[in-house]
Amino acid sequence: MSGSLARHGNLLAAAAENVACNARGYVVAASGLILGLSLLLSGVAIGEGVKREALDSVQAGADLYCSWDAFGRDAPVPLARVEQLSSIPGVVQVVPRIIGRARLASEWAVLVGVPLERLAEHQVPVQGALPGGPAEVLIGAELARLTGYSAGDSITLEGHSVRVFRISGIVSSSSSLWSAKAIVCELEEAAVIFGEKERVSDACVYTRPGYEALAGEAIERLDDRFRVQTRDLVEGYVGRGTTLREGVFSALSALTLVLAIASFAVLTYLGKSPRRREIGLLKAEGWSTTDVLEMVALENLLVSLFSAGCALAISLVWVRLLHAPLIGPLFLPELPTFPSMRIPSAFTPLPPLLALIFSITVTMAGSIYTTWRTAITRPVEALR
Amino acid sequence: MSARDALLHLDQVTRSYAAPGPGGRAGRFELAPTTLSIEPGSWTTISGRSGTGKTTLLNLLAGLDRPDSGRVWMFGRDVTDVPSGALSELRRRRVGIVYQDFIFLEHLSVWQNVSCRLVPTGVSAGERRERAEELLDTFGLAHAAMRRPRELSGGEQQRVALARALIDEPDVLLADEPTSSVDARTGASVVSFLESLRKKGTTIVVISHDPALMDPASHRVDMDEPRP
Repeated sequence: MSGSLARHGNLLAAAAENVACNARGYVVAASGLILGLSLLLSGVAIGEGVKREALDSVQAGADLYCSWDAFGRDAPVPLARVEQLSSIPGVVQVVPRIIGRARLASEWAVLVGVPLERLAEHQVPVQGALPGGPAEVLIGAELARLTGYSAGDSITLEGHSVRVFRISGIVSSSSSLWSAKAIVCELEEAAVIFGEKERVSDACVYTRPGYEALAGEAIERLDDRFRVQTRDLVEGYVGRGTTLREGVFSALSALTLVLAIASFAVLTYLGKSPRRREIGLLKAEGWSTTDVLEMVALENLLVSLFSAGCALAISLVWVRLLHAPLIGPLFLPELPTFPSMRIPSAFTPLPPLLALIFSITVTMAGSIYTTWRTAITRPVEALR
Repeated sequence: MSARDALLHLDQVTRSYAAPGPGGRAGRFELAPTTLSIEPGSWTTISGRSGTGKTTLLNLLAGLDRPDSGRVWMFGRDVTDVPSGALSELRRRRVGIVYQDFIFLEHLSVWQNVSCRLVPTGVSAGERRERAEELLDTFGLAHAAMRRPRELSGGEQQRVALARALIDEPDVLLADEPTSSVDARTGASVVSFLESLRKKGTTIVVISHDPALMDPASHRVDMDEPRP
């Protein structure tokens, strides 16, 4: 090993020894940093996971979504108009949907009415069976957990009319987040519950590849009260929505990290008295200012690696194992404070890398300047 | 002897700083203009009453402190205004120091303390340990290599401090009261060791009131006497 490499190796070993010997002090000083980074990594992972899942749903969904315009806002579409959409050139399938809110036991649920024969085409993961007829429904895993219902139980849904159904299956918890608190029933049954036999919430239109734009224009020509949203437009909404929440959360995390910098600086400064004497001794023994700074920088690098590693581990446990208590509802308002369901998340390499860089910056900012100041004072003063 | 020919040379140096006065009141220490030359291969013993500036003089000789006025020469070079980095480098290669209160890195073992100046030189940990243990053995401290300095007695700590000062075979050893914490027998062995070092060519500068460290001195500086 060359002399220069051996020198760096020796300084790294000395730094590791210092960190190991002062582990408790470093953990206390880095705890704010670890907390801030854990929040940031968790938030970014959930934001990214929610966005990906939403985009996957959009990708697997219809080419066009058609609703109705009333007073410049979205409104239900007359069923008679929906039936006309099938005749537009390029359109291969039209699926009308009713989406509304219903109460099951003490829980609010999303009631989705669709032609049940379409469910088989979407390969929905179900514990139990898909509904065999209009008297059967599927319910989401989280809803089943909260209400205590299971496959085979009977439930009553009350709206404009009261209907009794048998639960044929539970949509698996590994399925999309959006189905977690959903009840899926036959379109006509939903129409009866809501008392809306002539209208549906919207219509999902599937076209032949390349016909999306043409079909959209044709629908608007058919009746200018149709509001048509393309898949790209929906993807844009999804992206903007999650990015906004991620942004708010990142700003809060940044604030936490700023406080972490301050606390790290204060705590490392408080620990500087013994270090001042240590640095004075090293200088008196012939260490150069560069040697001292390199050793302290390497200590910071090790503490940063430790902090970023801890933050990543805490985030993984928090989001994947504990289902993101406290922060999950910030991204998905319908979630309880302590969710028991799987929370969508995606841990990509970039956030941990940024966390490491941030961590290094914080630790360096907290200690390098004070070390440098000590290292350039006369050894006799530092040793006093 | 001219400043260039001397190993270490102080030329009319003065130094003043805040220091506790009588009864613990705020006071000020002032080192009167002092000139001192340390010849290569010599043994100089500095003595004097408490508060006369012996340690200040040693710090100036070692480049640990800078004078308010006057010039400091080390190894034939005027180092009064050289950057602290260059002074550190000079100390590391050529000056061994035994501090008055030893000063150890308490979180490290004895052998790591003894060899700490070798860390930035790239000497491997194995070799550093070997050299430290060899030196500790010379001072009868082979058993203490893995212990922490605070676990040792005052006399043992003093010998560890001496071993640390000698780890890189310095040209000059500056020692502040090197026998103050050891018993008479150990003190005699320290003196004998320093004499053997001097015979090998190492220049010795000690601060002491111990007659055993006065006798072998080729030069004596009494800080109580008026300066030239």
